[in-house]
Amino acid sequence: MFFLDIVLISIVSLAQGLSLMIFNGIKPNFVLAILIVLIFSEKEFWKYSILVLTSLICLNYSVFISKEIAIFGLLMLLAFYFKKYLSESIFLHSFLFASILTTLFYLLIDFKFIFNNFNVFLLELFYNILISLFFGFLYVKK
Amino acid sequence: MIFIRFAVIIALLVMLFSNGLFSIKDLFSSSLNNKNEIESLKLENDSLKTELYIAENLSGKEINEGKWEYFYTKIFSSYPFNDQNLISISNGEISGIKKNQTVVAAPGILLGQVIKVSKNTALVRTIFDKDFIAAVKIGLPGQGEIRIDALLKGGIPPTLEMIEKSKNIKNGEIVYNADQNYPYGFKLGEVQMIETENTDTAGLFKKVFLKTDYNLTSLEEVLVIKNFGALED
Repeated sequence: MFFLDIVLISIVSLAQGLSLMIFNGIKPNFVLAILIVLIFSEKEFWKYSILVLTSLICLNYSVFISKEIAIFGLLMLLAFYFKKYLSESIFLHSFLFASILTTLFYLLIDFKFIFNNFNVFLLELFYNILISLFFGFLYVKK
Repeated sequence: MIFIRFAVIIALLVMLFSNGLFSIKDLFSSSLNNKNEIESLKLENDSLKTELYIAENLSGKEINEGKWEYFYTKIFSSYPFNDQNLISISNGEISGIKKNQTVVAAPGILLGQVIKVSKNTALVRTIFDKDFIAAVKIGLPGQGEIRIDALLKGGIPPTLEMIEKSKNIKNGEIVYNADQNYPYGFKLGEVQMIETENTDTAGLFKKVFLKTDYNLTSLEEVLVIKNFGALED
């Protein structure tokens, strides 16, 4: 199962890095949405951190160390520690994490983006929530 | 859950393959390639039109197609989030790529500018990036010297702002570069939609969208102009 998760996150990150998944001009953050659901799936932190690291390697768009990718990875790792404070409902968990992490991510990398491109931000937020709820639904259907 | 994960992985793989990432598309019928072929032909047509336009309107002065030294390079990844629109190209310092060099989608079609260079790769800010700004002119070839000034602001889609409200512009009019950071006369796209109701500050200016004949995600290679010296930051 862990191996499958690695394959899944690698392919999703690769597709995200190549901007293959664009809806109405918006790139939903599939990697964030799937990693949120995998927080529930993976019980051990080291396994989850390998998944995050894999996603960062596949996402990295240039040879330079990117501030955005580093912040993204850090946020996803931090999220793992906060899962114990949330309810057991994967839907509520996915909804909250997708909303908070998307907002925090853009606040940290470029807060002006949210205010200057509010419609873009809102649409991405909507897509991220939708995707994480969808994957959460698949997860509970196991 | 294993089944679902397999299904998701297979679906994603199909998507990657169908986008031509691993050249699998060559194995299938030509119908799969139609979209990319049409885009490619449009881009070529656009490029030829721009060259013709430059030859008709600006030749005899200084600009001609042979003036530019183009360097073909592959796109190997792009910025994965929404706040920027950058692409990474597969050549860098070793190949003579330098900061601020102009990048084009096809000869004469402006795409962006190199912003960071490493030994083997470089990062390009495209016209779809929110931080891309350039002075442009709007006008159809053969309309004499009547040109409309505008400011291009990057985004998806890029917008043309600061257009005097009194100026008449039509859909399909050519938008070309007038910014000193990029070669003069290079085409950026065409006017797509006119927001007659929505105007900028105090209703003095118009704002329209820019339509390009290519899709950034389907571009596989771009060209860097090596002999155009842009202004330093």
